[in-house]
Amino acid sequence: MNDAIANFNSLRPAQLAALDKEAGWSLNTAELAAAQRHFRKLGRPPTRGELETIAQTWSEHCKHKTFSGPVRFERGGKVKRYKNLFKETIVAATKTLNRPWCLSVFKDNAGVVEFGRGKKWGLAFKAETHNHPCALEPYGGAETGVGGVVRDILGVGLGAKPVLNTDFFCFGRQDSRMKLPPGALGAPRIMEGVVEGVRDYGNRMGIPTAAGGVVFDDGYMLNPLVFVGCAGLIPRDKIDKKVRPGDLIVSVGGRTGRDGIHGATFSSADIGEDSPSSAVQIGHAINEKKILDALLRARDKGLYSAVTDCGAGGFSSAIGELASDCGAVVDLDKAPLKDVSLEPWEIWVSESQERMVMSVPEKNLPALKKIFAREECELAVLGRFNNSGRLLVRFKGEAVVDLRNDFLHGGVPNFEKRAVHRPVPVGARPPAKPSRPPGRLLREILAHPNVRSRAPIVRQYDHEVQGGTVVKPFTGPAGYGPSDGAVIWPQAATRDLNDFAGFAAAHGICPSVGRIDPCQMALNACDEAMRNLLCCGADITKAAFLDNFCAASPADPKVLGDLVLAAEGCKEAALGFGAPFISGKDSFYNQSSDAKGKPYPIPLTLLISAVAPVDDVRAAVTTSFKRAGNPVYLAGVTWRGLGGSIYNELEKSGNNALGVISIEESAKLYRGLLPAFRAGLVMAAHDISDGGFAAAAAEMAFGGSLGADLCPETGYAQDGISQAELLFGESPSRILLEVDRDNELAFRSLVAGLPVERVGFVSSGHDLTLLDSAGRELLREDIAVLLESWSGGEA
Amino acid sequence: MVIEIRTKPKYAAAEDAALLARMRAAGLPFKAASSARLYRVDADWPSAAYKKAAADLLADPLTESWSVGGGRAPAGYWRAEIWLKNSVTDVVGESVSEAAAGFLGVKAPKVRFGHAFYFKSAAGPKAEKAAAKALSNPLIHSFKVVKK
Repeated sequence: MNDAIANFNSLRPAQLAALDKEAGWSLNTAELAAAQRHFRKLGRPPTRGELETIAQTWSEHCKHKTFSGPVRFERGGKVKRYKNLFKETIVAATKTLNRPWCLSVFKDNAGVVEFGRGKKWGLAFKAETHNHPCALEPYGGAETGVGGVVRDILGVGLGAKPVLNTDFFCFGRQDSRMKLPPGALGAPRIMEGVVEGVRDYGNRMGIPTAAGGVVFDDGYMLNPLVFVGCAGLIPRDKIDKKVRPGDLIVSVGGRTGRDGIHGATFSSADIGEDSPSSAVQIGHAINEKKILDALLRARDKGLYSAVTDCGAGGFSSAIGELASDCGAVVDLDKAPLKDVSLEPWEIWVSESQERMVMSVPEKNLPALKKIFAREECELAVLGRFNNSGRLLVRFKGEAVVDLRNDFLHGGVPNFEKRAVHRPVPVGARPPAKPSRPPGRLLREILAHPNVRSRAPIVRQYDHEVQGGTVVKPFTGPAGYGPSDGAVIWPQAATRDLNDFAGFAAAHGICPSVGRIDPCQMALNACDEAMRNLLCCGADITKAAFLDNFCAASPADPKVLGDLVLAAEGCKEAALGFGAPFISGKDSFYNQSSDAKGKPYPIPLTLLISAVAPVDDVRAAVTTSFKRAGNPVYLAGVTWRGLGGSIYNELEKSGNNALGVISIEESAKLYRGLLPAFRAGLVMAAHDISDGGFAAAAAEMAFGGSLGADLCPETGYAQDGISQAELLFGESPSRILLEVDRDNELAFRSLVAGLPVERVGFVSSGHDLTLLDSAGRELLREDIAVLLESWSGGEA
Repeated sequence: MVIEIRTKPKYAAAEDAALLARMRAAGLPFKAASSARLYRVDADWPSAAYKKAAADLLADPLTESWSVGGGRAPAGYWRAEIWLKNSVTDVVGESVSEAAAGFLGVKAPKVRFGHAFYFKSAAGPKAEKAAAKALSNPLIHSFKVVKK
């Protein structure tokens, strides 16, 4: 390889491609040619370190070339062009909304919104994916995923204190008999490792893990999706950071080893049997906890002017980004190493975990050293920021990298990519008569992998540490009911026990809808996240979204077409709800070859994570029924269509139409319900999603250890709707509400004019009874039996 | 020298049941199974130092037993060892190294962390090899079936 690099400027395209493959850079033909032109102009060949730096900086992981690049979208003979898909959809919505409570969006390691009384705090929120590492080594991949997103929160502004970890997974079905290609790990193995990794890292760092979920679908059999998120609190005067030329470049935390080399460039490649083992990263939660404790102490003393985490690309990315507006000289021989046999370029791009890079005024170095020494946390001065506009990296005085910032950060060629609409035949005829009685269907739906209890996962997490988890993953007197989100009272960060301000965190995801209509998938996911926030009692007028897109190769125009539609859906939802996106991340190339060698891509998947303030956590709302005799209301309209539903996996309905969603109507409904929540009239609330009305009612009932007699037909519904659609349809924008019977009139007056209607009452019995409008029983099930189905007997 | 730490049989029921369930899910129905933690310590210590580290640093005296020099499989069991490859960062090994240095007042030794698994079946080493494969990841682990 050394010969090829020495002759880089004269290599032909095929030779460049061969070199790229051998080195594992994942640069495409145009990028290799751009690099070659640059070094031809300089009249010298590149060094290995320079090509590694370019590959890392221009990687999909770091540059988001697809999402931020030009796209030509073709649909039905019409063409729409985007210069920058991300800016023209998701960022455009945020800019249009221009919310004054958004303190930092799309420019730092996480988005930051205003938090609490007195405008003293910002709430930072970020979600990351760690899909490729988890496919290779689930435990290590998940651990380092959590470690990475926690460092994002530590590296936002001058550092935020993490107060919540979130987790959301997409795995292959655990009972799948699909033949796997060589080297692929089975779905149970992946799930077990990922859950253990998330558990061990979060628990050891003392950060509560709550607000999560799992989707099982064989589309994820070879490429699991692991979304990990973190929320943290930061003083408002610590949100801005700026590298000052003359400051020292200081690295803190773990030592640099060979682990994780090429992680950033690996994420721009398909996973196969020959995937590099060096891409495996190993986490050390205790080291990160030491950094956390020392860093926040140093922050409060004002000892540094900027900080960022060493994530994908290692020092190359962290120092490269910090120096992108100025310049830097780095001496790699000053970096503490785990392995002295590392080549200089390996030190530069290694993704060894638990490292942060800071910009430190020289006069503050002794005080900084003292703080980190007290935590037995290693600190090294690697060089100095300057005004050169260049990145000069040396090892024992010899140049390893010498690149101009304008080329490194602005030289990546980006060409227009083709995207096409993928039409899906939709059957909207009335659903066929089900083969099972409704009661049995409900039990089977509750036992379905995508509905059943997540207790075996959730119970492994410490969601109580820091003592601020108000709405926990399970609710009700016995902890049997699933929550729609988490409500956090971050008193461990504010240290103010008289301030009851908190926040809710929740998710929305519906890949099965995306298979039919990617735009509606995005609308539904945003809608689901908003409903979940509202059901926790959050102030949805100040909700903020994170987007995490995962897709197969965007080189496939249909994959990119789906992405365009989903991004447009995000824009429409954000504008309709008035909820800005504040941060996000995308992950592409989530595809592998199956056992027969055929491409096996994931379905386009969008996870919407959402946060909103809860003005007083003592008034937070949970999903479980509270009192017999309380009326139950259905908010929202049930539309026809069983597309993407759990019901359709169990019954051949012949109907794959999607329930209608109008963000305008949904936003009006949720804002209209908010005063009732604020007035304390809503005793319990649960969004209707997987499994439909019947599943939501069952979860509220066994969660509260109370029965209910409900008639879904009395709620608002589309004309001609079938019984199956009423009971099990998953049309969006619907919530079941338990209302305080003593204040029902006040509730009704607050929701007058909205599609909100009483559908029955909570009962003191042990049955969930669903009736038709003539009073005939559609189903009557013992809530203990329903709980047994849902929990698999583990409740 | 390898230090092995095992949960005492009277406390190991849940741990063993979880391992058996995991093996059953992988299509390997063993009659019995148990596991142990392994620490390979590369140091020039007297044997008393290994014993002190095992007894007072690595094992919980109430619930765990220890042995130095490699555990023996009970009659009828096969034993498989799984270790992190030398090229893989071993954070447990690093922590134990630092702890041992502080505890014994010696220079930090090189420590690698691993697991031992004991399986009882009539199928012979083929099943044990399959089990070791199911419990390890070839990207980062090496394994061997070492003893009957």
